[in-house]
Amino acid sequence: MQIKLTYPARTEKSKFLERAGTVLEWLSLIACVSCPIVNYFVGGKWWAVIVVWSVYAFWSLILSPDIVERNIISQTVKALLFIAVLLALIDYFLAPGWAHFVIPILGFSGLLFTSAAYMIDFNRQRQNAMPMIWLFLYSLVFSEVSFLGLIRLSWPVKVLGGLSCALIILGVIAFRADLALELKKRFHMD
Amino acid sequence: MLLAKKRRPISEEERQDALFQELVPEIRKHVSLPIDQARFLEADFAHAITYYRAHGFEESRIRSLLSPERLGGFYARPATVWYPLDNAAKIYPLSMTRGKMAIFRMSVYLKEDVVPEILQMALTFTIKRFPVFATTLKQGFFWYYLDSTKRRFIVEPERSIPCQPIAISASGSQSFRVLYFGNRISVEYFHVLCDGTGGLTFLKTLTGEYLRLLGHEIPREGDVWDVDGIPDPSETENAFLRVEKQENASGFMGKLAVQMSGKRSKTNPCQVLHFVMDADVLKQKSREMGGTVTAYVLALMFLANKFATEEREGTVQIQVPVNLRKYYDARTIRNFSLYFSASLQLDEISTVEEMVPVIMEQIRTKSTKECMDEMMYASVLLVRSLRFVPVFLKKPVAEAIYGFLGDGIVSNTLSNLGVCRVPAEMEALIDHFDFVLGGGAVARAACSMVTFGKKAVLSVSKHTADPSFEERLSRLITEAGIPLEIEGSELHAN
Repeated sequence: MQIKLTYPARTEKSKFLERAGTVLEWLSLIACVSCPIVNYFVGGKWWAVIVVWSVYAFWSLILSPDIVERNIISQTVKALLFIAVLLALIDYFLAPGWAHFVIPILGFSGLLFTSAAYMIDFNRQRQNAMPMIWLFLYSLVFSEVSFLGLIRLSWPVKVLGGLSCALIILGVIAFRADLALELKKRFHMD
Repeated sequence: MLLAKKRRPISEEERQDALFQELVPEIRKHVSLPIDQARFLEADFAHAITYYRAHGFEESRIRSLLSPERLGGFYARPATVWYPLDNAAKIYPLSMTRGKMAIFRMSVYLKEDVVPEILQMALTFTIKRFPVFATTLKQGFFWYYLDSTKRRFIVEPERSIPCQPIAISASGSQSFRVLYFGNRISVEYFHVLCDGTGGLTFLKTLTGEYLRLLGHEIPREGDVWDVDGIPDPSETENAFLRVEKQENASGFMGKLAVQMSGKRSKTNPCQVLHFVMDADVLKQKSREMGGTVTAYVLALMFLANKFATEEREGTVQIQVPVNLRKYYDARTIRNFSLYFSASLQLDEISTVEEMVPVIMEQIRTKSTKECMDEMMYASVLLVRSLRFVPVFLKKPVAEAIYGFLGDGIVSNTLSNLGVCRVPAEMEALIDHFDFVLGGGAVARAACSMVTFGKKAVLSVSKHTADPSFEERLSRLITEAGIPLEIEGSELHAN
């Protein structure tokens, strides 16, 4: 069968990144299986939980990033959530007593960063507000939980609560129409 | 190299051009894009002016062809419009995985080589008439949706095999790509935007505008839309919602089909082949067999499929999309097609003469309005019943179903767009069209067909390096006495 070639000639691309990705994927899977087993037989603290979560975060952020909506706000919020959970796990399983202080600092830093990214590049980021809104809500819930006494109250928690409230109010005043449209789009059901 | 092709900066000579200097304030009045995008859009005008000057166009003519007024308000307005996905499109983002996207491609082959500078301007003027294409896919809580994006939409030189995934993750990404290579203009669409009919309308309109910018008198009629016209809401309608309540709602499920043998390649498709046939002879041959062109080609495909599998029992099922616009008076350019399966047991696949009447009967009974209505209604019910389920729950289920069941019920596909018509002034400048389907999850090939003038082009997208299917198909066509030329790409299997 004779084929007249009417497409550009095939170019050999470097397979290094593809192969490196495959190796990392396999290493990640091996780590996720072997660490809990080793941890179980060796005993002691549950460090394998931290390993598995870290590998999952690495997988989700680097090895298999989002196919849709990978922008500065969504990736910042996603990374923040992974790190916050990781810190909570380290605090719970390995070295307790500090996460209630550190996580809110991380949270309000994230709030400031994403809000700044939204406002500085408003034209491009106006359609990426939803992850930031989620971060506002998570921050509010976290600070509410602290105010109810379920997590130890500290100054970063107060800053986190105050800042998230302030940013929500500011957002409603300054970007009411944009945020309303964004919510309508994000929660449409038809 | 890629960056240079996409974003050739404006040269000092072009910047000093008196006409360009005259147009710049007008362009800026019509454009409110980020500064980098706006500058490149200005550069597009400069490059086009350079082309026109080099080809002896008069200044008044250039001014009229490139009038910045033709940008309208599209590039000046904020991106506030959005579109829920139509019922058929809803599955595509749910089932897509890294490297696997539902992409299809339409190409027009002109009689002259493509001028990239003019094609870029044609796209710049055309996209405003197709607001639903000027969108980026976004993830909502319950469904994905299309959010409008304002940017400079780009044309690119073709570099790889057709229908590779489109990078849609960044803010304001294009969900389609316009490519040029030699005398070919191609548009590759993510299926969330449109179906074949919508895609062909866009391609014809873009080509019409391109030829007009080259100085040809091309009327704006039929599927060659007036790019300076006002988009009508009916063009972006989710026409699936027109279906009335049916007694039965069915049509999506089926038995697993026989698959061709051969390992699926990592690159999908790994090869694209175009069987360029004499349309008149093909039509004549189909008539002799007592069927339509679709039925005849299906019969050939059944035979080639049987040859390409090592299985000895089971059913070969070829999915045939049905354009629902023939049943409903819809102008939508979005998805508005469903499908039926032409199916034959392996032992029923015998000779073309025997199969064509059986296939004709299946076409008659399975693609009726009643069957399509039932399927449409099933899609409406499905969407309705899933509307409260968040995307993060729907997606893994859809991926699994689509990967292991949905596509597994299909051995092959034949999407026949039929005869493609354009205004006579345009017809003289076009050689032919072709249409290529991207990859499914299981099937080893997908076929698509479009006829223009005296050329009927059957395109085969291969997902395996095994050449049995196309070799047998080629032999069957040749043995039937249909003049055939085969064009295509190299094999990209790994």
